[in-house]
Amino acid sequence: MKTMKSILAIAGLMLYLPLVLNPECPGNYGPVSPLSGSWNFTFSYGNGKVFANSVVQIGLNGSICGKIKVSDTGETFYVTGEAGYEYDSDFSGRFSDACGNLGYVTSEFKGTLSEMLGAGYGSGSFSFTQKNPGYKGTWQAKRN
Amino acid sequence: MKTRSALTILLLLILNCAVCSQQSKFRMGLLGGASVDKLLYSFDDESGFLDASFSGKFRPAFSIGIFAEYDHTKSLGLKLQANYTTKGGILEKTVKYDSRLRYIQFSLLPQYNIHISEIEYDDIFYLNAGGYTAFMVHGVELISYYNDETERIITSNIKGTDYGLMFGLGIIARRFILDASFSHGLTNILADPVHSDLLNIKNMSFFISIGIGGGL
Repeated sequence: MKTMKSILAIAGLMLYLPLVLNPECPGNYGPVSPLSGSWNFTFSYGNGKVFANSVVQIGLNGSICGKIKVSDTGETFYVTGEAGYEYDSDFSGRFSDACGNLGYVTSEFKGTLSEMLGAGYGSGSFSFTQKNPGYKGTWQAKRN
Repeated sequence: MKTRSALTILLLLILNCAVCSQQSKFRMGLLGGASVDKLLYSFDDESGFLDASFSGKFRPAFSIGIFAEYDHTKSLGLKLQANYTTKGGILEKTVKYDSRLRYIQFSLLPQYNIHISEIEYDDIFYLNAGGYTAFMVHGVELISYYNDETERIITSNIKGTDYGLMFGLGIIARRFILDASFSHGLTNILADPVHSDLLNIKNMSFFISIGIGGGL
């Protein structure tokens, strides 16, 4: 009986310890957005002139946030959104004053971000006419 | 005088071809081996902010195929090769992307043969260069973050046909073949018409194969 208990205890430890000690065990991490990483975004006016260039972060949970500085005026804003866990994410975000803010309701930062063969790329449109009637155009992006 | 010279040259050419045809020979064989493959990426945009070229990491794969070669002269031949091969590569960002693109590839390779034995006509060292057309059979992307792995079928996201250049060298000795080759894709394999101007992805592979074959 004592031997049986010892065997069971050792077997239990053998099952339990690898799960505790090995941080790479499956199941220790939730789903990860395939779009996560650091992205370069280039925003352009309708006439092709650069509105702003920005490095935008997409978190492991697919959250989008990046600071942009308008090339002409030097004004700074944030763009935010939610790419989720999709490979091809059609998202609709906003301009805001900080990451985590809900953003300006009338602003728009939307488009598609995609992952293929490890490369991240995307395009879309933006509009922040509440700040300036001319603040609208398109954007392109790639993951660094 | 000019007509006579032209006729003489024409006669010489015909005689030369007759001699060539006597030396013509078919060679066939089977090849199988390993390859290392990677993907080449380039971005391009009007502002230049996104411009970048980079390549992923090599990933090992396998290749198996058959070839038939026709020797037009003792030294010059034309090789047609068909392979089942896996291309793709690995790209590591926050997440690791392991892409495996399986193709049936046909190569047409003009070949220069150097005969290395006076006894065995089929013992040759060869150099070849030409083009290939590859038809994709299946595409899969393994996405892993630590030990969590997700498989994604990407056959419809990749162009069905890839074209490129191929260079090779090898030796055939006593029907044993050792072959090494390099292929570089010329096609943007991304089947995304909206973003094909922004992102360009090409295949690149090195193959080392052994096989058996020889003259018929």
